[in-house]
Amino acid sequence: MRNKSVELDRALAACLEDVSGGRETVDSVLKRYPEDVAKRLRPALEASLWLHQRGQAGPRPGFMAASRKRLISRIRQESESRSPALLRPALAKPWHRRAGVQLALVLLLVVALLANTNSIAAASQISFPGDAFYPVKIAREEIRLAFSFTTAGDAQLYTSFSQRRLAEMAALILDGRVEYLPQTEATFERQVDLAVDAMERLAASNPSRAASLAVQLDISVFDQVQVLSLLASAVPEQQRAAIDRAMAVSKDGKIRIEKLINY
Amino acid sequence: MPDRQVVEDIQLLKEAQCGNAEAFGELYERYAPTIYRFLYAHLDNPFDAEDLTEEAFFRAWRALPRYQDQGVPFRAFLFRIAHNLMVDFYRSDRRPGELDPEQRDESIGTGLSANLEHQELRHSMTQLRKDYQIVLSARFLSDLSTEETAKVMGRSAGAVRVLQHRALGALRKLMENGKGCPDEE
Repeated sequence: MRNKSVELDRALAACLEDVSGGRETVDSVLKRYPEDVAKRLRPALEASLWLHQRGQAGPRPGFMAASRKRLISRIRQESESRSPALLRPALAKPWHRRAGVQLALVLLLVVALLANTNSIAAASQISFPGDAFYPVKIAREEIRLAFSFTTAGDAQLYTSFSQRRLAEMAALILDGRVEYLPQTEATFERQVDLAVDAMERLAASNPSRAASLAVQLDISVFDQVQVLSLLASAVPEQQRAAIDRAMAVSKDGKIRIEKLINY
Repeated sequence: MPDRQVVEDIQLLKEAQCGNAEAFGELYERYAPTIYRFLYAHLDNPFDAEDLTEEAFFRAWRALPRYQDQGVPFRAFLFRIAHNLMVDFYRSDRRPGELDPEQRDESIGTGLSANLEHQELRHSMTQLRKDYQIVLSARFLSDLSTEETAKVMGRSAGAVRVLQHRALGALRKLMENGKGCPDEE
């Protein structure tokens, strides 16, 4: 019985497609089926064709383009004016409210981290990936690196910049602009690696300087791991992979730095 | 639907869920015409259908974070939102089909034959039970599959097949009695 109704449904869909596509007429298409099936199909086919022919009107010309533009603008306005669309419904649930509190703690920790190792001024002038002035910020970092003539200076700058990337990641998650997260995380990974590479080069030429600098860096990377583990517990599932990768790089960096302290 | 489009849809959905409004705009471009046809079949004027189409997508955007949990195909998810919106619209104070003067002027220019066909469609649809109207518009105006229609209506695929069979029968009877089309009366 069930199979029969499924078959009839399929036959109706096939007939409708051929007749509405102009390849067959109602009479010719029904000849494909045994008489009793054709007899049952005919009224259904005629009624569905009648409907199909009368219900094909689309929106007015120009509506689609104008409406798409309006929709995107509404989405962006909403994202800017309220808590992010991605996190808002999630925050309604108790578990996610806890995650929201964790995110707030993360931000506090990030600010504290920046205050420890760099300056609050740097935090206050933060612009984020996707902002108009973000490329200017990155260019300024490149200039500072170009004018660093010591390996120790390079290590300190890369560490400082990786902390900025971390602050940006936390802010992007809180702001719901997570499309920029993978790119920011990739830069974070590269900068942590470069900082530790510079430290290892320094250790080869000046072990005592490297050991004292490594103690400072070890504290910074420890803070990074703490921030990342809080972020990992607070972000939606889709963003977890990026945070996990960043945490793996930080932990690896910490192991390499600890070796330099005991060098 | 070709496989390539399904893959593209999944990619666009992922990007939209990560906050990419442009990716959602692309999904809008793909699915708005079918949502519009579904809504317009239940409404008397095209402007309400346009407004509700846009609003349905805005609500879909807001509901995107919950989308994966529901285990419903994206098209069915959109149609469910559009369907709920239409129910709200009918419950609201505004009388469906009421045009403001500016819309009335514009409506005259939207094509007389299209208007006549729509009037015929509405004339028939309004004589059918509400669930018949929904199954017919989803299956034959928006080309949803039986399974997708079942998700939209919250019924089993088998129940939708039975409902569709009865709805087509009722429509055919209206056509035979000359009540389907105003010009046949």
